[in-house]
Amino acid sequence: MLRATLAAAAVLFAIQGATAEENIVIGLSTPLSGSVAALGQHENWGASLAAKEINEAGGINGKQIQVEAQDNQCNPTQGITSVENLLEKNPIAVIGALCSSVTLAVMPVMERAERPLMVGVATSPIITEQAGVGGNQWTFRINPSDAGLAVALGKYLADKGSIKTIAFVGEDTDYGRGGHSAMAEALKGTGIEIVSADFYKQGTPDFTTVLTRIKTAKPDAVALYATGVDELGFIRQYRGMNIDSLLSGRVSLDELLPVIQAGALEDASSVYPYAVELDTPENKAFVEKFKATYGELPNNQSFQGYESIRVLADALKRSKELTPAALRNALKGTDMTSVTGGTIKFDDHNQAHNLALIMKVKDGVIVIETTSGT
Amino acid sequence: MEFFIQLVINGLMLGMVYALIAIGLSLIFGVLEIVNFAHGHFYMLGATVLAALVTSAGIGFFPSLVIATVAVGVVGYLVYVVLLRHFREGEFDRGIILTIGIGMVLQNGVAYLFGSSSRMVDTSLSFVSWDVAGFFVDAQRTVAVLVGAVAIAALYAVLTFTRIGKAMRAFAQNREAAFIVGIRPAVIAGIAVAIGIALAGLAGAALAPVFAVHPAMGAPILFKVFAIIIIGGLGSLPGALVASLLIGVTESVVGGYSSVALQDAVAFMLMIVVLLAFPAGLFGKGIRV
Repeated sequence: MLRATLAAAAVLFAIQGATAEENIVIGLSTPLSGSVAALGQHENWGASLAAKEINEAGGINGKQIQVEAQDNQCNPTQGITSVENLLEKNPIAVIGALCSSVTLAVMPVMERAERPLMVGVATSPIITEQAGVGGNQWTFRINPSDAGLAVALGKYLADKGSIKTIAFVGEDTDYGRGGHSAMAEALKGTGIEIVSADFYKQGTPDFTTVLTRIKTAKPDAVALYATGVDELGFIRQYRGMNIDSLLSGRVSLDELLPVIQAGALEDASSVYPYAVELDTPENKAFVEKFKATYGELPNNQSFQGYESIRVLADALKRSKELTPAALRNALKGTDMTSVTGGTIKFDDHNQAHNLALIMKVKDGVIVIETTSGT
Repeated sequence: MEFFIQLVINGLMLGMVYALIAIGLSLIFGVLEIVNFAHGHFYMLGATVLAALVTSAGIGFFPSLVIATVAVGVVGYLVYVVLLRHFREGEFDRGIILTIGIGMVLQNGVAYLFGSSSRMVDTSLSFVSWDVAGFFVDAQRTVAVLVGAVAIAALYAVLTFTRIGKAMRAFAQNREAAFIVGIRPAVIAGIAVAIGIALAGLAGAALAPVFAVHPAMGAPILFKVFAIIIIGGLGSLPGALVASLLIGVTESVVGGYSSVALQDAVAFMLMIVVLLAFPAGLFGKGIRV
């Protein structure tokens, strides 16, 4: 009996080993716990949905894509551990790491492992500076960097003409700090001045102090670079304190629908790489499928997770062989249409230039004001 | 000057919130000599239960506040009965590991059951604020402060005027003597843990409409409250109250005049200064509660 059980176990193992061998493993390092866990969950959902679609359509040369997610807690140290764990599963590429600070930490790890890192959400301009020509040859980014987004936002705010002073509030990470430098750079010569810059620690529940200062200083607008629960907490308290300054920056309006419908963010504007409202057939299909599968509307993270897998699959199909090095070469030749309708084509810093969307809250709904290249 | 006074008002309100959490932590340490690393997560549990009751079950804010507090207190009591009761004196490190583990279970359990997305609780007082002599006062925070003040006053009354409260203080001051005069340690410690944890739950429930509610909300507040009870003197309830207000105001003023990035550091810098000057904390006299 024992021998039979052992034999059965051995057979099972062999089968498992065989299927694992057949699949193309793509790693995903993203926060699945902590204050931005919900965003990581969405990135994972988006990636899994894309993998499912591709697999159902026959996979890559008959092989199935298998997404393996690991939690990085939006923490650089944990980020490296998560990537090391993923590398043990022999992934052909890794998607990650949602947070800019974590992405910057795992870039050298992926470079040493000689496997492509597909960045889809992190926006720090430093990632582009360090990638591609003269730097890390294994990092590719499909989403626009904060530099590109800030230029689009700066132009929009300057064209409006009503905003002269901006108070910057951002998280004390590469995202917030990088966003501040990008905004400062983009606003040069527009006549708009950043009058104050505050950086709070991620996970801060209370924003009374910075809001009190803004209420006293009365800037025309507040540029917010916050993520996850911090953003929600900030906006709730901002609304509670009846601050007249307009809200702008990188506000994920999609996450704030109840607040927007309540009429609390009227005239708030934001620059984002994605919006559910985007009117392309591909996006409508994506939104519908996503909602049917997960019961929630997709957000930027789910979109980027979805698009990351699409871009990788496109390159894998063109790749001469299924090795990380061949995949990297294939990625360099990417020229495909994004779900947003923009084009994904990497420059010599391996940075793609998808669209930047300027969104605005009008009468309790989000409208896309303009789209521009980045 | 007006800006300064506004900062002080903000700081005092924040301090009362810290006090509610800190006093529970201090009470548990005083009676059981266990540093409860899960305390912040019980605060999160209170907020989560309230959010579920108000948003999903449609129960009013004040009834939900009571239910959430009692529910968290019951969970706290069960945690005592099942786990904490088995500690012997001098097993300080085991207590740390165990309560860290309880915290993890709570945090991930809530994430598993309710998801890790953050929730907002809206009450009739959300976004209501008053202009008091030119100063901004938020209605929902005022409710939290009043709830905190009532709870702290009630705790003080229990500890001073009731037999069970006196027994708790006796137990904290001298275990052997309390045992000799017939105080049953298991009963007293169980009630103290339940009350301490219920207070954390109450703080979370009272603050759920103010802050974003999510499974990781307990961790940042926990370490600040640790600094507070160390500054106040471990196990001293008046110390915890005074230190909470002190930290609340200092944080607010420092953040207001310099950088908000410094706010978190303030509590710990103050802790270092106080420990250098008063090694037992501001109110630590060797006799607790």
